[in-house]
Amino acid sequence: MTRPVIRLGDLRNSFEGVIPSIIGTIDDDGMPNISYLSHVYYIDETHVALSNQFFSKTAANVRRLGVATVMVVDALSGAQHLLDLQFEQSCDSGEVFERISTHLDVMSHLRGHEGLMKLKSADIYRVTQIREVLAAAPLAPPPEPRPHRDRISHAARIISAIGAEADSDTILDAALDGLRDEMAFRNLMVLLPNEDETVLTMVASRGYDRYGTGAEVPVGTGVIGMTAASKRPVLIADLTRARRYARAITGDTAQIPLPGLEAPQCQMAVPMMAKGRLRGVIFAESELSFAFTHEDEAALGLIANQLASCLLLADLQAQAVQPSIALPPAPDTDSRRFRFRYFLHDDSVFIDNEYLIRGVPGRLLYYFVRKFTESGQRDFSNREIRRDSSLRLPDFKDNLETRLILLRRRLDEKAGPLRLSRPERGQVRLEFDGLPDIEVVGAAPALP
Amino acid sequence: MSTLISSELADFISGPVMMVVSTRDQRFRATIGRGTGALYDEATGLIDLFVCRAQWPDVVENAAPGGKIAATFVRPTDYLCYQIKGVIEDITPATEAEAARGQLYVERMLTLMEALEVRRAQLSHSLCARDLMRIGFHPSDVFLQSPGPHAGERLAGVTA
Repeated sequence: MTRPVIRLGDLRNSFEGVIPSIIGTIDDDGMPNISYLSHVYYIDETHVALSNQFFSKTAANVRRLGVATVMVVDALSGAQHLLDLQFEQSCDSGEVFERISTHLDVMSHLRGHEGLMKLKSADIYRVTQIREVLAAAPLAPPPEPRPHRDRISHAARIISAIGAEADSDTILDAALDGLRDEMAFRNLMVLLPNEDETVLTMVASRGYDRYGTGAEVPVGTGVIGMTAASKRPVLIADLTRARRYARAITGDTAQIPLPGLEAPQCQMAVPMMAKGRLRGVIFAESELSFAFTHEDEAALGLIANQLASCLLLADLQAQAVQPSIALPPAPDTDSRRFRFRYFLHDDSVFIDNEYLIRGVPGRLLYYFVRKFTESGQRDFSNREIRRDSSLRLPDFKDNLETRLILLRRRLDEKAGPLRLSRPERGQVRLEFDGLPDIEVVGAAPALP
Repeated sequence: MSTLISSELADFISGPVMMVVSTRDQRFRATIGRGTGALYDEATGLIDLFVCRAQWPDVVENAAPGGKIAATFVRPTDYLCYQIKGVIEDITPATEAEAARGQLYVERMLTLMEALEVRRAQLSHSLCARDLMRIGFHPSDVFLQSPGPHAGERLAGVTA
């Protein structure tokens, strides 16, 4: 019986370094040399890349003879394959180098070896032969093959659903619901960068015991933060022996803890890109090793970019809308009073001494509350907000909508005396269960 | 005890460590396979390494007397790893006693690896005590091979 042709793409589970790969080369004297590889990187159906960090003997042997043999092991089935490699080129910049460098940075953090695994160069090899190692006496039956998942069709349906929505809120929900229902991603969240891209803030999630809206992750930290910093997807297929990484949060940013699984085994994050800028990160995790594949990562990338583009368009559209302002009923002046504290140094807001939010959403909320106490105004259009120079918003004009969503969802989750509603597109209304006693900590801002 | 193979190293390679073996084929390509136990014979100065012929035919076919061989020995608990290189003295089918030793090695490794959360299925194709060949070789060089910047550091060698 003819054995099926083995495609390089079929071996990607073997490339993840869960069980280290092995590289064999021959030196000047004909002596073999063995080295271990943390990862083999798939480039295309005929090429792989290997990271060149420490194994100088291997590098010298490859430079001399131009060939190497690599053995990879599938961490799910235990299947082993031998790859005959022909060296093609070494690179110390470019897409392949950056992708490997990002992955190594993440993995070195995971293993507590920060800085040790710095990439010097990525070596590109052509794969000239793939041979399966036939087990003479397998110790366990082969696992059931995974059912085929048509990720292109799933992604197409989710992308269509996102595109059918006009409002930022429903766009976000279409993306998250689609990922949950179509692709069976049970635990996921969307995070958005602040204006200087130093912090990501969680705006929507699915599958956790709480939403965690407003939780922050520093850019450059953890799987989420490193995805934002590198603007490249990160997939960690097996976290069995790695430290838990997604929630590596430091300092005072943990005022709202990021929701997360107790024992994630697989994590994936992809950047949301539009107009050449990072618009956010979609993060998914699972308690099962190898829950996500590289096909999932590619499909999520398509969805992430569609989400980014549609959020951007919705924001621009909301900017153009001139809503008809109807006077809402005045709040009940007999209702209770609550303390509203606003800290100028980071735009953080505390209500009755409980942290609510900070950054631009905090600044917006202070603006709304202040305007209300000065003039009784409760309805605000996006256009008006953007034009108000006191809000200092010029750097994020194209994501006001998402800041308002974050603020509105955080207020809803907090279930306190303040809420934001949306009487119509491009407009927000401040809703009260009580009246604010405003305290500004720091110099008073100049409002018109 | 040889100055090349200390008693500690002899104990190490005969213990529960994962082994990789490499020889050289006609095309000057490295073959790769896994070992099923090893021991150092102080009297002969040989390291005996056991390899499943059916599973690793390339390694065994290219393991001829006078040929060169490299083997790594990794302790899974801390990744302490040595690479020993040398010249093959002889290759013979494993005796009954040697085959039993190979079987014992597989059982010890399974116990150890399962304690480290490595599933049996993950090792299903790696550990094999069937159809074992004994490859005896004279060690000529010892290298530290633990992951990190010191990987490949030469610890001892025979001067020509």
